[in-house]
Amino acid sequence: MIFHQTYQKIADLVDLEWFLSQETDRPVSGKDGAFPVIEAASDFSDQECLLAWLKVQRGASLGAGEPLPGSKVLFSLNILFFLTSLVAFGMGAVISLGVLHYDGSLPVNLLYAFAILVFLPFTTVLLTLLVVLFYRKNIPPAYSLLLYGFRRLLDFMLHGMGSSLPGEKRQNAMIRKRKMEDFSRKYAPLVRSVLFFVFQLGGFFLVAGIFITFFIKVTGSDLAFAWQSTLNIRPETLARLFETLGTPWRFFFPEAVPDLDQIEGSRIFLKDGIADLPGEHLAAWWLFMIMALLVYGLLPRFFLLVFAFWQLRKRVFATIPDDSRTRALCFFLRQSAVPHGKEKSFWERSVVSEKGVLTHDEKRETVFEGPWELWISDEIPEDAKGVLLQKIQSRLGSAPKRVFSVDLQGLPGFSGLVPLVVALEVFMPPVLEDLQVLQELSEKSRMPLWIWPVGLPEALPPYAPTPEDLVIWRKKFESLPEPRPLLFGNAQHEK
Amino acid sequence: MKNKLPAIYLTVVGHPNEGKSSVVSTLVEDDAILVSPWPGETRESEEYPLRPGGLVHIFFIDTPGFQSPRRTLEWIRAHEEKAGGKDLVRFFLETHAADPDFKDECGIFETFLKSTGILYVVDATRPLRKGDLAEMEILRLLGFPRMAVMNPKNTKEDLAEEWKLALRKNFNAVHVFNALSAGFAERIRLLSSLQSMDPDLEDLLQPVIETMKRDWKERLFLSARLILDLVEKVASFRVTGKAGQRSSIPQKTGELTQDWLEGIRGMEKESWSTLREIFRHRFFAPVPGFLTLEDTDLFSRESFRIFGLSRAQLATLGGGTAAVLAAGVDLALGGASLGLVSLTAGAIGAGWAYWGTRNADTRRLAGIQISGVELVIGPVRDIRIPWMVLDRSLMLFHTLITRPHAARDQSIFENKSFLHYLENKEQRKIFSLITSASKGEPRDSLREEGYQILFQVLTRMADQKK
Repeated sequence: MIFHQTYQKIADLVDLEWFLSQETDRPVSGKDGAFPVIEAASDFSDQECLLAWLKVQRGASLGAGEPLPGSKVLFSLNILFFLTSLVAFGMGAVISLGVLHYDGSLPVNLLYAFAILVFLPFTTVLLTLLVVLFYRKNIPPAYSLLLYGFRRLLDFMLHGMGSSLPGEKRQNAMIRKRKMEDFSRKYAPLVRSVLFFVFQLGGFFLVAGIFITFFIKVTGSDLAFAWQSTLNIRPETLARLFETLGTPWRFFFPEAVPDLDQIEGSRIFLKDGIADLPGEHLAAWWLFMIMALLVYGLLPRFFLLVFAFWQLRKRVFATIPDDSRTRALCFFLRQSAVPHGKEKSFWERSVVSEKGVLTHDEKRETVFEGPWELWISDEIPEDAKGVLLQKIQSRLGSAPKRVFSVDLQGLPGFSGLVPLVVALEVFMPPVLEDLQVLQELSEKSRMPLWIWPVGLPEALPPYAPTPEDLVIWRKKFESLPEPRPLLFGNAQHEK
Repeated sequence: MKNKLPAIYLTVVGHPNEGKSSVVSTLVEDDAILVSPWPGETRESEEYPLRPGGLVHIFFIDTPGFQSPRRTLEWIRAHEEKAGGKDLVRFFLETHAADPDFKDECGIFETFLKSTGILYVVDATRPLRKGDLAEMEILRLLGFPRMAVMNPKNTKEDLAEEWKLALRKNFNAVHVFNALSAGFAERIRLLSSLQSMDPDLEDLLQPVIETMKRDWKERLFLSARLILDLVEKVASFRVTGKAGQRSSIPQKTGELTQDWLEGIRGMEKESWSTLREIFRHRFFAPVPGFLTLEDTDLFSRESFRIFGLSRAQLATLGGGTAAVLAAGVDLALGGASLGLVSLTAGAIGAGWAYWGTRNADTRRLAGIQISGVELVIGPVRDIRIPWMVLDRSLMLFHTLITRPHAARDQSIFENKSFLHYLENKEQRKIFSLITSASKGEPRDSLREEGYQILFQVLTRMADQKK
């Protein structure tokens, strides 16, 4: 169940990103076609809204017969996990078989076998624990280092190409870099957790391979263990060492801790051979070895594996695809779920005359009042405002709660927690300080912030932005960090 | 030429994408300057020299657009009491050198330290906005000599009164300059109007303007020479080739015609390339197409040759040889034959040599080809061909002088003839030159006169470029 939930969430994340990328302009501007009506969406949290939308999208794409990217990613993950386990198990088995070699004349070198089969895997456990315990964001592990290096390279390339790349290409490169950073911000911890889990899975199966092969070898063949040392270590020293190592199981399984007789009786001098050594001492070591493998290898690895899975699960559920697109999407989903027929507001009664003048008609049936506000740049001519209001409320499907005329540089002063539409003139390219103001506003409000582009009065139709201006503004916004403002615009008219 | 006058540095500033680089590109005739509809193309300030006739006195400094004008203005207003002019600029640079938000402003302000004056470029086809006013106010508070250049980017020149009003309040002079249509005269006018920005500049600018005018004349004369030389070469151009069999003559003629066309095109290409260099167009590189030869009389001549001799020469030689040999008989007869033998033999020899080679087929002697048909294409009898080449060169010339260096498209010619710029008398003179060249009798006096005529024509074209 836990596995299923975790897997399902990974698939949800992948599918959500995929469906969002397929929507192109719609989640941003809500244009062309209504959003699915999701019952009670107005009471949902953002995550619930997104899940409900995902469900609808999945249902709609069932007919296509193509597996969704989420299933593909899960399939790939399963293959990765399976192959990792298999390869690690095989490696463990090979290592074990390589070490446990006895042909009747030379016994298995006990210290050597202990070092390879127990000590080295245990060292990796300790290192992993060190990484887990002392991991800090400013001590990046290999993944972060790689990403950091890649980012630095990209920065270097961008800087280097800065003078030679044409402006638009440079902008596109900045957008790609920004997308990578956004992806990293959202999913880097999750990717790291997946990698950590894969490493732990590999580690566990490596040790499992060693353990099982050891057990099979001991059961199915005649193994003799003996120790030797050029340093002429005293058996008493070794006895104390093994006694210490056997502490975890000494009290409930004392037979698996070698005594001094066994240690002395299994000491081999190569020039004398093993003919004079008692056979029971040579064989008795398997109990100690199997307990050491279990206690210092398999069990810690198992716990690390469980920890890695727990961490992965935690990360998966902590990963929330919160960005401008999802906020905009949630806004429109809630809009589509709100029942009509609320009391008409001032703006609901707004009527725009042919001359673009705003009047109010008590009898007029119009859209309900939405939760959003409209801020119109004070540089936009008065005669344009009526037409703008009509267009914007028709696009958003509701009338604004309030309308303000604002100076762009005064925007950060507001911090209303409502979705905002800011009508701005876009016939001049945005300068850095304008972009900073809008980005700051978007960050403060934590709500969707749309920019409604306004063109020149001479445009056809009047105040319509040119496709070129839309492209410039859209790309400038795309190079801003999340949460960023979104530009209303017809993608079909852009390059 | 050695510079004796101090250099003038003019910084070109403005909002992003207003056409600053276009203005600089057109002014200094440098089509390598990055110009694009995408804002922020200019990332670093860069100096571009104006080089009339190799003389460098004026540098235009292209800068990135203001990115934080309101905040910069706020800062300047807060600090204008403490310092002014270049000191205020230095103070700004010290304060904001490490601030990425003011990177472009610092880039612009750095140039002010060496700047003689500032050109503020605006696209006056859009409404005036608060950001523009902030930029103007910055420049006003800094107090450098400054001039506003209204660059109507979309060539409509639909200039709003509110712009003029705002600009006049803040600038010593306001000048309209369309970087996408300005020619030599407009450039000279802009440079002259710089004097109104600062009277001290007059003494510095006047020699530059004079040099520019001289240089322009020289360029027109060089162009005239180049074009006329091309026309003369085309008029006298011919190619020759050999055909083995008479039956292969049509095919060989076709090949030679193609070679002739290629030759003409090669000459045109070379001439066009030089013309582009004269007017400093490096990236605008139109290539002449092949001439259209419908109903065109390319003079073609074919002659049979044996031992390198034509049939007439061969007949003379054959007749002479036979006559000399037969003269022995006449001598032996002691003159009784009255030389008739020699005469008859000579006639037979000449007749055989001439008529015997009628079929013009290849003859071989010991495996070596000793005869064949020589084909000649050109010089053209059809006078329209050199005129066509002249017209195409005039078209290119017109494109080069009307095409500003800020233009980045590759469209070239207006589909019309430019020969009407030549008056009847001038056409007759050029006609004489072409005719004498096609006959292979070039006359230096005619040529010199032709240069002068064409120079007059090009000057007229340049003056009436619209």
